[in-house]
Amino acid sequence: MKGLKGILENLRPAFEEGGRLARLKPIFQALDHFLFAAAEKTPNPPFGRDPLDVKRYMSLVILALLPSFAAAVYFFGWRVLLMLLVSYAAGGLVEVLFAVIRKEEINEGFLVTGFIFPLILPPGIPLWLVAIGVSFGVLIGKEIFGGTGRNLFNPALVGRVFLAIGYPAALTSTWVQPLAQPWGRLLAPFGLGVPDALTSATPLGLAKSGALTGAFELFVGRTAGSAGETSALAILLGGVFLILVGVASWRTVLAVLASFVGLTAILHGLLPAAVPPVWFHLLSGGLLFGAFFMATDPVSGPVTRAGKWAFGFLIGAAAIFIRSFSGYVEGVMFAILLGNIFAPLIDEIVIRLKSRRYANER
Amino acid sequence: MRISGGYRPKIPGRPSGIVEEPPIPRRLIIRLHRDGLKYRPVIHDGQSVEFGEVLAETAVPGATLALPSPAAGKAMLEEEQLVLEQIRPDITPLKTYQPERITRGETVAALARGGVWPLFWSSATRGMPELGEDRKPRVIVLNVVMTEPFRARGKVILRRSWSRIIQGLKFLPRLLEDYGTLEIVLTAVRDPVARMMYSDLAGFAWIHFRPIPLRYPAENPRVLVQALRRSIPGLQKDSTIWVIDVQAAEAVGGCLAEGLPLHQRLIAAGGPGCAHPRHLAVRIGTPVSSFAPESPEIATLCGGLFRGDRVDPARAAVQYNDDAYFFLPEGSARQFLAFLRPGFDRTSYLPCFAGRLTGAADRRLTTFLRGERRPCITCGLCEKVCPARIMPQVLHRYLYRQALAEAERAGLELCVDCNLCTFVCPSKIELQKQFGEARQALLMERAEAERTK
Repeated sequence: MKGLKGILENLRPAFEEGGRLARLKPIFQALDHFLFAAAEKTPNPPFGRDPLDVKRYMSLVILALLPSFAAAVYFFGWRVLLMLLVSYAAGGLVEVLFAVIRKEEINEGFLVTGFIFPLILPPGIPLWLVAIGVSFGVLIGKEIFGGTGRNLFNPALVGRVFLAIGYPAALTSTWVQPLAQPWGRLLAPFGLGVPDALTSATPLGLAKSGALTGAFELFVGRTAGSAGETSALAILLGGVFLILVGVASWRTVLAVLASFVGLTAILHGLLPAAVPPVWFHLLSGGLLFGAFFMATDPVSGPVTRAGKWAFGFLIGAAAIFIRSFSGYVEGVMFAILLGNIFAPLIDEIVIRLKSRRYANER
Repeated sequence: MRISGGYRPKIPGRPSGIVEEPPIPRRLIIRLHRDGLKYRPVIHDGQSVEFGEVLAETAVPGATLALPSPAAGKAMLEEEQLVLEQIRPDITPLKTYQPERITRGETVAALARGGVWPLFWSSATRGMPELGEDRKPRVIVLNVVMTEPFRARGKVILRRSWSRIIQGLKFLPRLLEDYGTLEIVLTAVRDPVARMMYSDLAGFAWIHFRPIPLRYPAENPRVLVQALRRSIPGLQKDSTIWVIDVQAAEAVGGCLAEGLPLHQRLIAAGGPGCAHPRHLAVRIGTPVSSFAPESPEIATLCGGLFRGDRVDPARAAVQYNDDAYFFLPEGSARQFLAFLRPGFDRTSYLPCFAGRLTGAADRRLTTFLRGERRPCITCGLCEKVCPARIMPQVLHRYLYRQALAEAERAGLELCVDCNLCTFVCPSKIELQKQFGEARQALLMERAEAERTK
């Protein structure tokens, strides 16, 4: 470790102002701060600070995503790992490029976006589409707003929607059917190309024609679907962890699930033929993944605590309405983006309401 | 009483309940500034002074505030401070009073001369109360709870000087409005000290007890006053409330009943950089170097961890309103892959480190920022801890784009300066500094508007 520190210290002057590689300072800084905790001191009171930083915060999100990632590899094969590498490489390039141009530090938020992105794609998607999607998402969804913390929309979802609209055929016919063996697809061969076991039938698609997938299959995730979204079990493992450590807002998750379940129950009661029962809707598609990992994105959600309730209710309701009454079988993606659009408005209302009380207390 | 928000971190170095009484040092240093007021020396250079003699004074509307000498000796005038040398430790009491025979005017004058008056806090001025007759408080709050790591604990002082504190409380009705009450704020714990208070004060109808949770910043006067207004229905919105702490009550008793002007402070010396965290009873003016660790690798904060300011221990001395010195190691070693470690040696506001599982204290607390500066990710932690129920993340957004009027509307001035939001921020944003500057700008803007009217 001492040697490593020595190497970094030797390299540092080249990246400081006036050094030969000063332009690439963000890259050096990211590596330096990744390996060793930052040494900046507190300039103002309080002179001691809480140990939590954004690095830790974001790495806990990635830790919580690991069960879903493991499930994706198990059900859909090692190709998912390739998708992740492509996503990190392409998205990382955009992120680094903008950090260098803006002369700011590289932001950890990208590591979460790049991890989530392959998990919300069909596991049989061509790898070049992964690269295009994540680059678009990071560029248009985040960088043009000024980077992490300033973006309006969830960047992973922006990339996903771009692919869904720009390449509809590739996005609806590249699902992979999991195998029934106990070792899943772990031993299945894979390559850079598109796998051959493709299908166009996800549980939500099949339900439109009246065939409901079994609850057990849906719960463990042995169905066709987006790589990390099929296994409710894995999502709950990571999602509950994320709520326990306080990184994900339980208010948002509860609000999404409550409004979704409530409305689905009502719609199923009114139109049992058109709307499948609650358990099916809850376990299929991207609802749980979206509720735990994407609606809880603090940046693109509402700023205020009270606003999180309204935000969650809106997403849950929009998701079931899109699923039931539109041409799309899956609506969570659009629902969350819709929520992102409304988040600033929700905040404004909450702030106005609170301002009245503040005026009284002054 | 309920208080919203707040946080009580586990910090190593909590001072023990034992009170050490070191001998009086050979030199005492008295600053000629106190609570933003400048005092003018009334003695000449080299004059020998008696215990309790007025060293310096300042005129405020209604009276003259004084700095009484904490010991007998020879006074030397220096720039902005006064040094006492050739100290003699003997104490000769000044005039004493009896609570039944003293008038309000005499009480105020004696407290102002004894250096005790600035220990009072008034909701009307958000600082030292006015000395005139007009604004008598409806309620005086005696606060026993000290939650900031680490300020002198109320219960340690109660145990040590209970009889003097009772003496002091008996004078308070002189200052109160008719039918005014004394509200004693303490934790609900039924320990011997609380029992002693209950039984000794049971006979006084004008004294009430109000339990409060043990969470920083419960001792903040503005937080206490807000909580009190919420829990006493009859209290008018504009009725004046005063807040004092236990040391102030003790000082009142000492000053009026025993003729001893403010000459001693009980201070907590603690924190992770302190080898023997303890309480100390020291003469005012005692140099901090006499009890501070000698290492240059340790920062000295005057006040607790949250609000304390860095001081140079070689030059600082205990002043009339100090009650805490926090010793914080300077950060030095950069930890390898720090964010990937389970973190059994640290705890944070969110249960994000393994230290939460074992109940460990935050042993890695140093002067490091402990993270990189990032844009706000609106995680909402600041809103959760805020005791004033405002939304620091929203204020930050407004102030980031210089929208001062919006920030004012969103409750900027309700900030009680507890610094908790800055402490918990994972993006390491200097919220406190930003809010302080914005409030300054707001005041200047108002003064400008006043002038042009």
